[in-house]
Amino acid sequence: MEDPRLFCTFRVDGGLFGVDILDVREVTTETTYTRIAHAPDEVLGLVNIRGHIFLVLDLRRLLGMPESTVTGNSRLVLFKPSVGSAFGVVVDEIADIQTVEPDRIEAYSRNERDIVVTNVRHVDLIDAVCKLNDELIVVLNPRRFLPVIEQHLTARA
Amino acid sequence: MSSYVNDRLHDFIVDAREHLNTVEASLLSLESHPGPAEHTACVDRCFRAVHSIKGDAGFLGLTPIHTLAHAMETLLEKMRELAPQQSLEVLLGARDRIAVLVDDLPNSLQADVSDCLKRLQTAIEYRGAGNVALEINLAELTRLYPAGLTSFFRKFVREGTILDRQLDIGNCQLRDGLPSGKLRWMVLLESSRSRIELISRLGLSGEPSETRTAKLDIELSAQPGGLLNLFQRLDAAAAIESGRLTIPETNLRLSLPLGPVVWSGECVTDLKPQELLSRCGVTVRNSIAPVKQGQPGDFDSPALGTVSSQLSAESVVDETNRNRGAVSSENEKPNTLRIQIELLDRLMTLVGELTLVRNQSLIAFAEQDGPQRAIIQRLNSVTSELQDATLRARMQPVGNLFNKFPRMIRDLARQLGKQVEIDLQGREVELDKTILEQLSDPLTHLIRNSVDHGIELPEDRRSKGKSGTGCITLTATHEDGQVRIEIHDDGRGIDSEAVRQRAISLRLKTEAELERMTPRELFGLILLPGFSTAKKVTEVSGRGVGMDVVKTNIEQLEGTLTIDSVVGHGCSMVLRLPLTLAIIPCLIVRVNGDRFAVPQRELEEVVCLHPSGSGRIEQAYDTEVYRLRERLLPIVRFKDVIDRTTPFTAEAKAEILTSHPRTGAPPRITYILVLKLAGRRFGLVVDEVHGTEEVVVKPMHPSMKRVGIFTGATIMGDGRVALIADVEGIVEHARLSFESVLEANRKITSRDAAQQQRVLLFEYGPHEQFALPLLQIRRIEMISRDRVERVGEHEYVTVDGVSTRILRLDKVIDASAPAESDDLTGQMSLILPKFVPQPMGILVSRIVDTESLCIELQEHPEQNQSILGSAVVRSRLTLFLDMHRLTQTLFGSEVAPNSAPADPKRPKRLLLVEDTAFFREIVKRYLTAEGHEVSTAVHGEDGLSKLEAGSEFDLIVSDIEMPVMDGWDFAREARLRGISTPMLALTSLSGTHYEAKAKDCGFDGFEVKLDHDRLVRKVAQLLASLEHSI
Repeated sequence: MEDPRLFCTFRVDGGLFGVDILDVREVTTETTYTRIAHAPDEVLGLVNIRGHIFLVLDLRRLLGMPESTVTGNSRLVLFKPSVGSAFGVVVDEIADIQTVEPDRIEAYSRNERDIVVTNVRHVDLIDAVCKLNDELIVVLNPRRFLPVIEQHLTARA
Repeated sequence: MSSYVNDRLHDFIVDAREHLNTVEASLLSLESHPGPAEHTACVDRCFRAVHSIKGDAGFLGLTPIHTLAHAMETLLEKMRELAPQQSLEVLLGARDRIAVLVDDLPNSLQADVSDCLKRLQTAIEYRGAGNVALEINLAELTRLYPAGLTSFFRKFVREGTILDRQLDIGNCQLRDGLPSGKLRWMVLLESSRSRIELISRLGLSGEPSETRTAKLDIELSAQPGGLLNLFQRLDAAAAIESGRLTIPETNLRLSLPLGPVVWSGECVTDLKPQELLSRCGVTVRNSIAPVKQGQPGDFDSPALGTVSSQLSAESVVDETNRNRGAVSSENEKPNTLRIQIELLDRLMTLVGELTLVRNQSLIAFAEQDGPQRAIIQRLNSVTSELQDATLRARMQPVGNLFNKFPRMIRDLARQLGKQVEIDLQGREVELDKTILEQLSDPLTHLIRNSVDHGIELPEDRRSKGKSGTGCITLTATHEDGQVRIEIHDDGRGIDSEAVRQRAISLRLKTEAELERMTPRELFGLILLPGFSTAKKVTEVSGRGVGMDVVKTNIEQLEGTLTIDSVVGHGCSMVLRLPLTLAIIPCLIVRVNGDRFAVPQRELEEVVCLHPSGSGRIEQAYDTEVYRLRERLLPIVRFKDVIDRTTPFTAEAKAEILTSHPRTGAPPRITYILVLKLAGRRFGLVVDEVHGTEEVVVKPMHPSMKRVGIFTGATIMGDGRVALIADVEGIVEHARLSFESVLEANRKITSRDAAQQQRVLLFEYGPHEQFALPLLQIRRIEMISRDRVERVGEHEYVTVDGVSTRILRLDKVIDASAPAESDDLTGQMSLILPKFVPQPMGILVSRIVDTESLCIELQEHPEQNQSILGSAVVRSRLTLFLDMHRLTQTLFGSEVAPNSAPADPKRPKRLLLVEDTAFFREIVKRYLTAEGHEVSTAVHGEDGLSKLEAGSEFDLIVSDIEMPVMDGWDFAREARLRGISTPMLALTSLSGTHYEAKAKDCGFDGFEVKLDHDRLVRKVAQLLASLEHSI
């Protein structure tokens, strides 16, 4: 019997999303960043966390949702080095850490899906979905975030 | 385990590794058959190292290592005389085994080393043939075998097989006779006898012959047998290098020297002092043993596949001594210390944070005066020094990395059946430790590539006329703030045709693109993933996954890799790396409210444009430019670079041009950073400049590396991140072209030169600045007030014995008068003009300067006629004076212009061709004052077009030096076209040959600028002749 998985969940544009807790380095309130000219729109900029520089991405734009401004509830979720080097995403609101049994987690493949996630445009960022207390948690694969950015940069050139 | 034991084990590992390095280097040296002295030294070194390992291992209970080391010792003992190749192999194998065990100490205790031990044992018992290097002094031999050397050699060949031989003759001219200095025969013999046996069997002396430099003092007067005899014997025994004769003070005309005459000299000989004494009867004052012994055993032996390395064992020991603390056998005091890397890293981090605190204090206390300032300054300087020192602590010599390559190449070469030498240069060049570590893999790969694919098999090489042994040169140098590492091999090189074919077949580039590439770019294709032109994939390389990984590794180090090759001759790969994880000084600027750091390395100066100043950004061709000290600087606005995400296209550039004002003052203060890149300068416009700061460069986030305009990021004093500008990237992004600016530069300088006027700037009263063309000024005279004499209303001063009338500007025009002072000894200046009817001078209170300008005058018709116009010169409003008018006004109607009265019937139409606005204005005035109608043209072509337009002119007055079409061409062309109007040349050129030329071109008259009266007279003359001819 597999162990249950823990997800760090958060809200983006009203929807509930999550990433595997093992991928998360920390969640911080730091939201002032330095803009990078010529970077794709999904890149908000660079931020200084205790002497280290991290790249900040806008999860809304990554997922293809309409943009909005940073509010007091916005949080920066930083990922561990194994996910990608020195980066994190800004989310609208942080939610709870959820424990989910593996049988409730459905891998999300492009072709066959029972549950259709409507609010996300770039569906290859979705790893799985799981139902929890009437709400759907869309589990994302953060390892695909940076490649998307790099692709945009290459495409432009 | 207790921490004590842990520490001891840790120490053992570190020590053992160093010992193993020594062992390896010594064994490799032995392989290259050094001379006897060197051989013994190597074996000793090796022995000592192995002995230390054995001791330490035994103490710590590391039995397998101990046993192996012991067996190695025994074998080494036997090798003091003879070093068979197999023994060396076995020893190297055992050394490697120990290395493996040391790397994994916990498991080493159970390791089974019996196979290795067995091999060692076999080698110890080996009684077979080994190689002996002998050095035979032929001079000595001839004494032993007076009948001839043949009998010696007959004996010799029975002792074994000669593998290689070499004859060593000292520096001498064989034409003069057989060599008298050293004469040695060096031979490599494969024999089952040891050296000692051989020597005794052959009856040699056994002592290595050494070439000595002997200093001799010979008292010539005391020589029996005559001097000729002496020197002949000396010459036969030694090669005389230098000689000097010392004669006591004597008048040689009177007599021969009375005291001792001594010949002092140096000679090179193999003989020992006693032998010299017995043979020649000379006493050796000083005998110097050889300083440098060549390597007599450096045989290029085909059968053995040896590696002769310039990395001799001694230098390895030197380096290991440098880096380690306790030295085993030498008596040196250790001046190095070994510390944990983690400790050093911690130190670095703390220094980094201290720097930030220092920056914050600088900002916080910047305003304050008093004792705080001094304290902060001190904090500042100490922190900077600390920074420098800690950065240096992390630097390591690149030799540490290079040292492992000789062994690697040796093994690889043997495996592939090739012969390869390696030459290491610049081992002392230092690099940051982390960079060094990350460099190891790429360098290894490149060198393996060279051996595998570059260097050909010995037969192939020889068939091409190369030596059978390939050579790889590894060089490290400092260059331009970077470290440059070059790997050069003299192998088969890279076939650009093969590269091309491969690129096409892999669809990486089209034929057209390949055509346009430079050779370097072509070779660079090799670095793309999947690219490999190797016909065969070997175990070593050729899978095509190597080179692109190398490239990525190097790029991660912020380095570059370039490849050059000449097919058939070799290949050269050059790595360039930054020296350290840099702290660089930067200028902090603001653009659009955002802060950026611009590295000072490319920054030359900063120009500030003020709205009320005279500096302007102009436009030329397709770029904005700024005139910096007579040169045009292409301008890029940082804001434009930031706003536009793609590199500038031609349309973008056009848009940018239109969006900025064409001329006129800048709306607010702007700063232009003058940056220099590869010899080209350009200006970067920013909004604000904040100051310089030392900035810790953090590399750009890997995903953002493609953003070319930034080279990294840094954390500022206030904790926020700022981006560091990449000057090269900005130039590329803005597609800055320097060619059009260079062209414009040329045109502008030539245009300006034609139009430039030299004027004299001066002051009279306190308010105004005046200007007069230098052409009209004869001289400036200094006078003191007390020389001025008054006669009625007029003032005079005597200059050159002539009474000169003084013109005060305030009397003639509406100008201020200088303050009256009682100081009669005050100095004033007097401008003495040319072309005046009577001696006069313009009084001047202060000469400002002379200036070259192209002037656009603003006319003031409401002002006095004597004022030609005004312009701003050196930020002051300057009044340009009409000399002629002034003179006229001064002398009033006393002097009548002696020109013919103007014809009242019909005003004559004149065409004036003159490029300089200034003169055009003056001459036009002069001529108009005579009642003529004057049309103007700005140069020859303009003049021609006016003539073609059909207007009839009675006279043409033309300048000579003009752009586009000068006066000569204009006149010739006009005459060619059948224009018969009289032409007058008016120019600053003077001389009979110019006058003659003017005549040839068709001019009817020639006048030098600018005498009003003469001009008017000449014009009248020419017009009159016209009338008469009509």
